[in-house]
Amino acid sequence: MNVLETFGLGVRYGQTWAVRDCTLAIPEGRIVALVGSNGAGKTTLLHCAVGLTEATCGMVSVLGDLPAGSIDALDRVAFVAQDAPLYRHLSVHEMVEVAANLNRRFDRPFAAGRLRSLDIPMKRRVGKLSGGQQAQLALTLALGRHPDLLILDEPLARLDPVARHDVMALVMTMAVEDGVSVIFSSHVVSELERVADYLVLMAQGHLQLVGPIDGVLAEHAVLNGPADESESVAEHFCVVHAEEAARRVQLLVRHDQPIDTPRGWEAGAPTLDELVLAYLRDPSLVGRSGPLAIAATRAGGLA
Amino acid sequence: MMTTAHVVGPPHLRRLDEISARDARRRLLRVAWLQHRGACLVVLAVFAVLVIAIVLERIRVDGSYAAFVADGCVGRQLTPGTCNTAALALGGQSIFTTLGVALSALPLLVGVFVGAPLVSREIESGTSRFAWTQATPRTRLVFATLGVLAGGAAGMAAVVGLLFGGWYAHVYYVVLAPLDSQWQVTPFATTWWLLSVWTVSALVISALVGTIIRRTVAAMAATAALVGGLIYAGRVVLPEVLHVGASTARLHSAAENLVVGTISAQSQPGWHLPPGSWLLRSWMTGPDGRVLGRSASVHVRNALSARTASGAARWLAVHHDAFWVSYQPPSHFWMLQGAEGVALLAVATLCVLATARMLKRRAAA
Repeated sequence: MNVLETFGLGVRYGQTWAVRDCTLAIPEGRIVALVGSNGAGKTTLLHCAVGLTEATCGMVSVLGDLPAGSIDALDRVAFVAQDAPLYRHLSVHEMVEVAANLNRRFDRPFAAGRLRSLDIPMKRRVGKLSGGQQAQLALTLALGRHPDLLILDEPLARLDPVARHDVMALVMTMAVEDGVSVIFSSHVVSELERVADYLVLMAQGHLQLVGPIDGVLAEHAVLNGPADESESVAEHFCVVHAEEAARRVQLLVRHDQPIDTPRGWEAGAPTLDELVLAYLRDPSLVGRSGPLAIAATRAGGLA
Repeated sequence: MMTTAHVVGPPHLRRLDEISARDARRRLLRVAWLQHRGACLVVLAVFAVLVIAIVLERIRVDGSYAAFVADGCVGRQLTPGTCNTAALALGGQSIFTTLGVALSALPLLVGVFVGAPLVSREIESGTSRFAWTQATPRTRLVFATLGVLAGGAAGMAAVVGLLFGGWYAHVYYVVLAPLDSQWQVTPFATTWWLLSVWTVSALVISALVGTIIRRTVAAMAATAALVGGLIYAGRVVLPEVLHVGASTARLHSAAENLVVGTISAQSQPGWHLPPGSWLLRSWMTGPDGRVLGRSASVHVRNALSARTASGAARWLAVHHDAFWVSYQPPSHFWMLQGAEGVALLAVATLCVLATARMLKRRAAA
C-alpha cells in the first residue's frame, strides 16, 4: 500500500503554479524526508495530502485509495502544520479536550503522560507556552490519535537541539513499534539523515528526486580529480553538480551502472547532505518521479 | 446511529471507536463552547444589560400605569391635567427610542463581533490547519459552532424582543396616545420574531463575509457595512413593503390632516376600521369614480369638516363623492412579519450554502 500517491498533481495560486506535474508513490512504513528550498511547494503538497488545499489538477490519495482530506482519510492521518497553530486562548488541558472531541479515537492517557514528561503544565494557556512547548504540544496531539500516517510540516523549526533529538527519536520509535508511516518536511538535512529512509526532493513546484535514500545515494557518486580533466571526464557521466577548488574538481554524478573510475580520479559515495545541496543549487535538475526513477534532464557539462 | 472507523493503536482506544450521533453532537458542542466562550460571554453580557434596562423601564411604566388606572383615566379622553400627565409618563419616549435603537443594533453587533470572526479568525491565525485536519468535517465543525451561536443569539433576541414588544403593545393599547405603533419601523423590526431572525441572518451573512475575506478586522468592517446597510435598507423599504396585501375601504366621513400612521388613535365614527390598523394612504373620488385632485379634495374636506359624522356621510352620498383609505389591518401584522422573516431566512440559507461551498473549496491558509 502506498501512504501517499499523487498523479499529475498541480496547484495554482492565481497565475503561479505552487506544485506542477507531481506524480509520486510513497510506500508504507517509511520515514520520508520532504526537502526543498523555500517556495519549493513542500507545504502545498502536504496541504493537498490532508485536504487543506484543493488540487487544481491531478489527484491525491492517501493510505491506499482514500481521497485526501476525506473523513476516512483524516481519521487515520495526523498533521502538524508549520508553526504548530493552536488555540492560544485555551489551556493545554482544553486543547487536549478539543483534539479528543474532534476525533473518533484519541489516547488521552498517552497525551497527558507525554505532556507531563515534557513538564508542560496542563493549566497553562497555550499562548503562554514557549515556541518549543507549543510544537511539542501540537506533536503530542497528533501522536495521541495513533495515526497510520503522520505528516509533519517543519516540525523541528522551533525546537532546540535536545528537543529535536527527542522528537526524532520519538518519531522513529513510533515508526518502528507502531508501524506509523511518517512524512516530514525540513530544511535541516543533517537531522533527516539520521531518521529518514526515503527522500522526496522538490524545487520550484516540481519533483527533483524521489526514492529510498539508500537507493538514491547508491545511484550517485562523487568523483574527485584534476580540474583540467573535468570536461573530458564529465562527458562520460550525468553530472549533477561540479565544484572546483585549488585546481581540483569534485563532480557529483548520477549513474545507472557501476562506475568505471577514470585514472587519476577518486570515486566515493556522497552524503545525503551533499546530494541534497547539489540538487537544491540547481532547481532545473528534474528527475522522473517514482521510486528509483530518476533522470536528470541535463547530462554532461559542468555546472 | 453508529459510526465505525479503522482501528489502530492501543487496545483501550477501541472502546472509543464507536461513537453515537448524540455523543458526536455533544463533543462538537463542547468544542464550540471551548472555542467561542469569549464571544458567548460578551453576547450574554449584552443580553443581560438589555434585559435589565427593559425590566427597569417596565417597572417604571408599571408604576405609571398603576397611577393612570388609579386616576380613572382608562378609556377617558386625555385632556390637559392628570390623565394627560400620566399618559405622557407612560409614553417614556426617550427611553423607548434608546432601547429601540439598541435592539435594532443587536443583529449588527452579533454579526460584527461573533459572525465575522468565526471563520476569518480561524483562517488568519492558522488554527484552521489544526481544526480542519481532525477527523471531523470542517463544514460540520463550522456549522455546529454557527448553530450553537445562532441558537443562543436567536433565543436571547427573542427574549428581549418579547420583553420589549410586550411592554410597548401594552402601553400603546391602553393609553391610546399618539405614540409609536407596532407598525412603525423600530417596533416592527424589534418583535421577538423579526429580531431573532435578523440576528440569525446577520450571524450567517457575516460568517460568509468572513469566509470570503479571510481577515478578521477586514471581515468585521465589511460586515458592519453590509449588515448595517441591510438593516438601514430594511427600515427605508418597510413603508413600501407595508403596501403588500393592503386592504382598501370606503369611509363615510373624512378627517383633516389624515397622515400615514396608526388609525386606532384617530378613529372616528363611520370609519369602521379595525382598531390598530395602519393607514397607508387616503384619497377621494368624484361622481365618475376618478381620483380627485388636490384642490377638489380640499374643497370636499372643507365641506365635511363642519358636519357631524352622519351629516358628512349624507353629504358624500348626495354628491356621489367617496373617501377611500388603504390600510393594513392588525390581522396582517404577523403575516407581514412572517413574510419578511421567511425572506431573510431564505437569504440566510443561501449564505449557509455558499459558506459550505467555500469551506469545501478554499484552502485553509
